[in-house]
Amino acid sequence: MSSHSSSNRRTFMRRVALGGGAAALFPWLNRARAATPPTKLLLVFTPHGTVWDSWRPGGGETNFTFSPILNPLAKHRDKLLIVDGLSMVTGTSYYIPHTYTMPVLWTGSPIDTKTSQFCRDDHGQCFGWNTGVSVDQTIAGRLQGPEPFKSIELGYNTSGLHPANRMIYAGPAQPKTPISDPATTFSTLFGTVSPDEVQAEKDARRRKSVLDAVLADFNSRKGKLSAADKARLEAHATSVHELEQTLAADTKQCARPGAPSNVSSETAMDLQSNLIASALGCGLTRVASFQLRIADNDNSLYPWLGINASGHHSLSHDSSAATQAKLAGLYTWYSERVAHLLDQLAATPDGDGSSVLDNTLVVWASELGQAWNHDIKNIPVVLAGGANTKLRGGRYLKVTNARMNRLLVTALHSMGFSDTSYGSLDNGTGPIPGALSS
Amino acid sequence: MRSAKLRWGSVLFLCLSALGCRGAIESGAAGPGGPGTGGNGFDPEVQCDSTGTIGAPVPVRRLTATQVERTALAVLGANAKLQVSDEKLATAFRSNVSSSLDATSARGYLNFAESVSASADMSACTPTGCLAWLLDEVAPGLFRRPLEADERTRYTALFEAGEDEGARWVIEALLQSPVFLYVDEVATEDGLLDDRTIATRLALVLWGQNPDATLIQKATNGELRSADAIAAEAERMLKDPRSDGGLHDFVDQWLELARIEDAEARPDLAALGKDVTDALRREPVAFVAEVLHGGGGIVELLRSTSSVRSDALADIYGDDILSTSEDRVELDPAHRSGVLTLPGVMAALAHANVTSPTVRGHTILGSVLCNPPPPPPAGLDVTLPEPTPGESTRQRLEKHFSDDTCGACHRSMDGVGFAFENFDWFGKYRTDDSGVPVESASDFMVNGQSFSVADAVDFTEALADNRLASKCVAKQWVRYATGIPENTSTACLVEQMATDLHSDEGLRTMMLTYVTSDWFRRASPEGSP
Repeated sequence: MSSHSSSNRRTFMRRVALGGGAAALFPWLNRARAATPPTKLLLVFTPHGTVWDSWRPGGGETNFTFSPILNPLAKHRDKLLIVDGLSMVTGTSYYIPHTYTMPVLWTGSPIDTKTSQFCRDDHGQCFGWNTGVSVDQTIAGRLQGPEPFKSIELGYNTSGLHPANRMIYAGPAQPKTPISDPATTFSTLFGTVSPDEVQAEKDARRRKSVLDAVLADFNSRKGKLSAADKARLEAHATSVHELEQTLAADTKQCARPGAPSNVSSETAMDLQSNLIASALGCGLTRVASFQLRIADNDNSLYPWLGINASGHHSLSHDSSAATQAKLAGLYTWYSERVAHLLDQLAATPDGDGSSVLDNTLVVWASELGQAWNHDIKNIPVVLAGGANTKLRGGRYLKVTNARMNRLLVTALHSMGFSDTSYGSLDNGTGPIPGALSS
Repeated sequence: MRSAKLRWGSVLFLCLSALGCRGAIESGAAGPGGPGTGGNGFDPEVQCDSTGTIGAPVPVRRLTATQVERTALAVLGANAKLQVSDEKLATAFRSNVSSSLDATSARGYLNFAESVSASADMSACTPTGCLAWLLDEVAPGLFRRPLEADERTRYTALFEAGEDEGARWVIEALLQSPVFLYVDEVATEDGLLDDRTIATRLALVLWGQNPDATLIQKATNGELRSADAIAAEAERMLKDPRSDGGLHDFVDQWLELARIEDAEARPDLAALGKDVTDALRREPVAFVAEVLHGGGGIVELLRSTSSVRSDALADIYGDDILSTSEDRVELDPAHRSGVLTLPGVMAALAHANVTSPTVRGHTILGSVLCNPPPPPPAGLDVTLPEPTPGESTRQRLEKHFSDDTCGACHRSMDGVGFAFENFDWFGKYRTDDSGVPVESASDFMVNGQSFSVADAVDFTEALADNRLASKCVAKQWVRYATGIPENTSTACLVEQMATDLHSDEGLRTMMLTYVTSDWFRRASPEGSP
């Protein structure tokens, strides 16, 4: 844009630009929302498995009774599928608990033990990142919809870049970092575009020009690049392109949530859940995830639950009855958080009178089955979702001889894809039998 | 790594059987040979006639968040916080060498750039001089080299397109540019890295930020070609106050001092107030700086009783401060001895409102002696009985020893920690724990060596002339400074650096050995990493 003779004229021109040609700056602005809301996927992680005696429901498939840990979810009974019996394998000859299963959880593929960027001296092992792609990213890559965010990753206290701290992967060694505090989530999803239209247009022009300049600099390197480094830089450039799309996400036309306040470790997950629900209701994305804390060595305290001296990970090694009861209290609190998330999804409208929960498959799992013995033969899994997700709710399903890969295929089918297997550790076929209506 | 892995496999198997830990820790001395076992206490005796001839196989490094923040402050005078995650490498040190950047992180850089541009010192951006300032000072300060012709053209166009906000546009683009964020390392025909690459490595290691204009100019003039020239430059840089940045990044991560400010795990420390937690976290870094600038080595590092004055810590030190000058304190040598007994280190290595000899022992064995205990076997009932009145932490933990499986590892781990029981969870000296006199005398084994110590002072004295500690400190510096785990090629470099630590000017000499080594100066051989 060239300079103009007076600031009045400049302002006038900008107003004209916004009214007439704003589509170039905000491609999102003029897109009509789809009449029927599309299905969505939301993956939820809480750490360190569960306490099985307090998690496992009683009764049979349809007449089951809620266990103490899952009882907070009871009011969503009709939209719940509780799965008992999915196993995880690491696909490696050695197993570092937590660390080697976090990258497997949603990818169904092993951690990379052929490279040694990371080392654990205490285990005498070195390893690299993941080898697979998490199922949400595969789905996000296939959806070519108008949503400005390909996917949204949120979390709380997810620490630095390390395979034990990341679960979402766009490709090998391409971890996605969750936004870990509600204030940043709010500003990223709902605060990018200024309410002042003149300022919004100024910001958009500046950011576009700035990021175009940044992209041009990707060709300025002199040093020799290995194939892996070349891929890293290309992925970064792709991320800048992705960022450009998200900066155009005008959320003025949907039900914006209020800015989060009173953020603490006790409230953060609920605040993030509120923002996820709004983002899905606003059509910002169809693919999201939430990660509570990390898979290894998280020793955060939960003083409001009486966990005020020794953190979750230390406690989780302890198989005594007293400690297991304390941990069951913590897992019940996680369950209450998931219940709050489902409440929010159910309360958020999603066009045509349906709720976001009607159209969203929620999948809740962990990197372990049971903490005290690091067991991964049975991972506690709960799915939730309404009719449009094809989930056959209101049931407690026992499965045998099935790996977590079945769960990943279930997510693909719910989102409209027909893959029969997913991930290099898959040894079976199709979704979890009986999980979805055909 | 293959042979190392196999051997570890058998060691771990031993550990899971009852007396494993004794086996693991003791077998180090008599362990099988073969180089390249990496940081695990199984280093063989190596015959060295040089510090090695191989260049470190370092992938392209993305600057760490603190390096970016310090550089933005130095170049633009803006103090902003960057919310982009770093990779946590081997044991403790952050280094971004393996993963790619996602859109959320790209957004983090955008937020940082906008925050810096809003608070940058723009006094040099005069109507006629602004573009020249941006192109000739700001851009080289961020890119670590002068701009190329095509870059000048493009950034000039960006400046003009931004009209009255042109400077803001340029600053935001420079701060998000891959040229700033990723280190570009170039080899010359003789296999050595070129002078600009050396300047960048020196600055990131020793200052924790980009090279300044003087250093870039020296590189451009070709003044960093020889080992002597590099050593002279490194000496100048270590005397510069900016060396606090590099020391901070090393010491803070080495001793896990970030634990002090983990409010969720340590509400007890948070309750002391930010000035106290800041001081707890800063003192060890300042202490090591004193050792360096005072010409000290491993002995001073582990035994000095001279520290920087920090009034926020006066209550914790209490009578341990024998004398105070304007900027220093002299500590009671009967109670305090070296970096490990500083309040910040003792406070970091504790739980909320209770000491943890296990955590202290575990960290000192791993970070200071490079002999980390193996992880606990799964499925143990590890509950210790509830504390009873009149029982000390030590008496309670000694119940670990009644069980052979636990005792195998805990005798070493807790044994090291018991020597530090005179320091409570704030790092305050004590002689009494729950009404029981503190018993700090402790016997334990590390790497096949028996230790029988009266207390922490006695233990640090024993360590100060023991190569276990000097080799480990050298190894940790190699990890920090290289940004990747050590490998077989660093064995002789580590040996020399450990020897340096026992000589005059030990710490400085060790660092100079590192920056003049082929590991630091050479490009990685073909085919790696």
